[in-house]
Amino acid sequence: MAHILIIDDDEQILKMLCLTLEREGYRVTTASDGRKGIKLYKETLADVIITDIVMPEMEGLEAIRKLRKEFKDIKIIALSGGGFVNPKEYLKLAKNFGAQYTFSKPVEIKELLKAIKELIG
Amino acid sequence: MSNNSIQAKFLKNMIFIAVASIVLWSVLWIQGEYSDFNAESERLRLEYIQFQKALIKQEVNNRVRLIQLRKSQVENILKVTLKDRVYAAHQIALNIYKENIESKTPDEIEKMIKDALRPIRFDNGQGYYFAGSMDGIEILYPVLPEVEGKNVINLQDSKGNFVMQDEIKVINESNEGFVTHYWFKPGDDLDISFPKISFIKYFKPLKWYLGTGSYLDEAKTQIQHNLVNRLAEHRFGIDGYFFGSTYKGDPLFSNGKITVGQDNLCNLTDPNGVKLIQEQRKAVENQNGGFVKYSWHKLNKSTPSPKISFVIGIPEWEWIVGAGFYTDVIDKTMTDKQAVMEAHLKDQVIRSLFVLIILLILIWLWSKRILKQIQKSINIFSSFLKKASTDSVTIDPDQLELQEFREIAVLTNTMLKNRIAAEEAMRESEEKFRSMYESTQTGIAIVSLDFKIKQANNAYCNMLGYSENELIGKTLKEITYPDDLPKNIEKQEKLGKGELGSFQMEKRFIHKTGKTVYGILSATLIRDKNRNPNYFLGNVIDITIRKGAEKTKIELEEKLKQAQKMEAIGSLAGGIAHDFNNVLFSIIGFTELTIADMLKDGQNKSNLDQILIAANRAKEMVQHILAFSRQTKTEKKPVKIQSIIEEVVKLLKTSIPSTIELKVNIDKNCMPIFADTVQIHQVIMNLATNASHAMRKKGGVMKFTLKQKKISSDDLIRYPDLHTGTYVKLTVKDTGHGMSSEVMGKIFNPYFTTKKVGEGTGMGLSVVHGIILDHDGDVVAESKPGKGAIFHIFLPIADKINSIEQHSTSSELIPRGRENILLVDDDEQIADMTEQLISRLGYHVVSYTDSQKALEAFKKEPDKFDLVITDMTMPNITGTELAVKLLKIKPDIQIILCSGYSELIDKETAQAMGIKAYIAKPIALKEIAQAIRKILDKEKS
Repeated sequence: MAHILIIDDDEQILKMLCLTLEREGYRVTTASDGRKGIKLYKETLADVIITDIVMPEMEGLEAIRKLRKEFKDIKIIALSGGGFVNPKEYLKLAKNFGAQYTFSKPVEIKELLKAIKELIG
Repeated sequence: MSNNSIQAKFLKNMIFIAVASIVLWSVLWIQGEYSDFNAESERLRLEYIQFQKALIKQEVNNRVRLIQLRKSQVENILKVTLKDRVYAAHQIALNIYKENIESKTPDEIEKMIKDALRPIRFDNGQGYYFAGSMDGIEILYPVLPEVEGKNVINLQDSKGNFVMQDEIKVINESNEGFVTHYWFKPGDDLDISFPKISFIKYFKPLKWYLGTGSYLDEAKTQIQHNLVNRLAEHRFGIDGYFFGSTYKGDPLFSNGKITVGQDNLCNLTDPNGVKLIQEQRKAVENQNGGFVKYSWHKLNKSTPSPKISFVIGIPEWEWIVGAGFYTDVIDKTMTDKQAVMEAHLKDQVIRSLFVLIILLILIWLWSKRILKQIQKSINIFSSFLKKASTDSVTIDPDQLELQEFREIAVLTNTMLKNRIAAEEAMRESEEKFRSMYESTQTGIAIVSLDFKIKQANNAYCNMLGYSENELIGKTLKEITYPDDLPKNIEKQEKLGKGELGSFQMEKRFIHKTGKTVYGILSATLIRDKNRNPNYFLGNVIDITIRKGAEKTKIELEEKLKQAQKMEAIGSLAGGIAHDFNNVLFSIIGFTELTIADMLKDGQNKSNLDQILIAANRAKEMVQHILAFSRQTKTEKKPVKIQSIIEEVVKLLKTSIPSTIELKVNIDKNCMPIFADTVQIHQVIMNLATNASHAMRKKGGVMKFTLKQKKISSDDLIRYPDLHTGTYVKLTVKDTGHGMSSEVMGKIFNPYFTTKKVGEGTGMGLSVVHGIILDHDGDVVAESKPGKGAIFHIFLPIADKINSIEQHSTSSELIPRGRENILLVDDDEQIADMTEQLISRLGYHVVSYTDSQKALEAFKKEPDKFDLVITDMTMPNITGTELAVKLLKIKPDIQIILCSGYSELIDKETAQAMGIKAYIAKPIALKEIAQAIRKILDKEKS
């Protein structure tokens, strides 16, 4: 069973994604910011990380960069609701930093699942 | 013709002078000759007269001397006789006295003597003795005895002489002597007195004197007769004769003839009324005689000729004797002489005339010659001056023969030089002013007093879009914006009347094309030399650009305000959006979950569907809001970025400090881009603001460069987010404090800022990034601390609607992996880029720029690496060499050779060597990704 780590500061989203992914048969762990997310990953070595960008403490981009640096073949999906900035921008940066897939919130669940499947292989 | 005038004048003058001078000279000479002659003749005349006078005087005197001689001869004899007689009487008396002195009384003696003497008579009874006393008593007077004893001291003779007194005088003086007195002859009734000469002697004893006398007339008559004869026939000189007459006027002799007895000459008058005798009588009053002038008949002429006579008187005989000469003798000589002189003069005059004629001819010839010379010189001068009026020539003074012309020529040359210099100076000045007038940016126009344009310079014409010819004649009304016209006219009229000295006003002009031109007009009134208004002079400065700039600035400020407002809204929206999206995500997610768990359709499901639909609608709305808030006026259209850059630069020039130098290098030929002007403006402004902020402490250089760049697949290594195609590349470079790589990594973050609190929110670069991404371009930054920063903005050109939107974000097309790759490339940048690129595909990449070091690293852990990608051309160990060496170490190592040239190795050779793949540069991401994957997969399998 693949393990997915979700990092997002929105509790509802965490809950929702948890339910959705578990329904698909994945094991899900969550973190509410980048720092916690990294720590959690190191502990669990999840197969895929799904992370939000704009978060307090350490934002998603930072986390992605750090993780990528340390774990060369880490699989990351980045999500963003944008805000002041066009989410596309964030997602582009996320790509630069090492996310394989990016999606704008609200995400099409179908797409998300597809991406996860591909990542895991 | 001028030379005729000169010639005529000259000739006339010369002739006049010649003639006048000759005539004058002649006249003066003649006059002189005449006066000389006259003087001479006068002199001669006088001389002659003097001479003649002297001559006749001498002659007359001679004659008179003769006469006197004869007279005296007679007289002498007589005198002797008388003396004898008186001596005898004296003796007698003395004897009587002596004899009787003792015997008789004095009275008796006296009587005796008287009686003795009384009866004695001489000369036919004419002569007698008389005696008188010393006190005047007549003692003895035989012819008139009555008077004896009487005092007759006052007795006068017929001429008034005091007889007794004279006699007494003589006795007192010399005891004896002769006296002459004049008496009427006794017995004669005639009124003629005759001279009587008496001898008297002093008789001492009785104090008497004794005397006796005798009339001379008898002897006299004889002598006279003789003399008359002699005198008459005497001649002297040529025509000289003597004449004589008595005092009374009875003629004696004249002109060779004896004229005694002829008519009395008293009334003889000459034709001029001169009474000859009277005049002669006057002249002879003088003892020495005198000269008398009259006219007389010449011997052989009928007409009287002027005569001068010298007369002298012989008072005893009452004779006038004289001689004369005709003065006209000399006159004749004079006349002759005059004739000679006149002939001579005539001769001279003829000669002079001759000379004059010759002279005139010579003058004429000579003047012709001179005039020819002058004419020649004048011709030279004329032709020269004709030339000189248009060309700048000088006259050669040596061409001219005459000194005066030479001098004039030299002076003319100077004058011309000065004129040319003055013309030059004038031309230069004129050119200077003209060029100033034409080249000045200020429009200058001359407007007539009735507000019509008369003249305009280039700037003015250009400002209004007309040619000068088109402008001339146009009224102010035609070129002035209607709203500004009343004020313009009003001020112009006041100016014209003199109520204003000048005025300035901003006014709008109407360009030929109809557009409005803004200008500042400065007008003055120009007066003529009589202080009367002549025309208006207007200076206009075109401030359209300034106004435009102001307008643009205002517009931009408006836009900025709008944008800022929008940004505020945007940030508001943005702030909400994130959470909104999250919320929506939850709503949708949970709803989908619920739907998924629903076993059957029904009301609930459709209700949930509705929620989904609503949520999706909300999602779209959020996007709209976000889209709206991000784009105030997103109107993407083809636009030339050059103009946006120029506007920004213009604004910058006014707002950045002078310590920052602006450099602009824009390729004007860059194609337009498909963009929103305001946003691009924002982007460039942002970058410029950052750059200026970075240089605010020490100043520096801000440089904008615009080029068109074709992005090939080779470039994609460097700029992975671009696509192949043509972009415009705008580079903004500053020389500020630069950024570290850590900062560089964060610059596009929305909240990241290096600015302190209050200096800015750090929005700039993320906004920039956003806008550029939105325009399907890219922003790339380069910087090193202390070395300034460079920002490259790529924007695709607007040729056909770029379907770049379709560029795949999905990475399905590009194969990935996780293997370990050794990358060798001597180009640091390429190595870096390639490393990044490949590691993004998932691989673990180790890169070296030194092939030697790479070899050593490989030697250490040959099993570490799954694949080697190496460049061909490298220093030290080349790609091929390295490949060989690597294969020696690990024969099954996969090697990809990259090369730009096919020179050293080709595919076959490479494969033979064990080089698994050969990729020709430039390589694209896709290519290399595929190559890598292919090799590694092959190896695996």
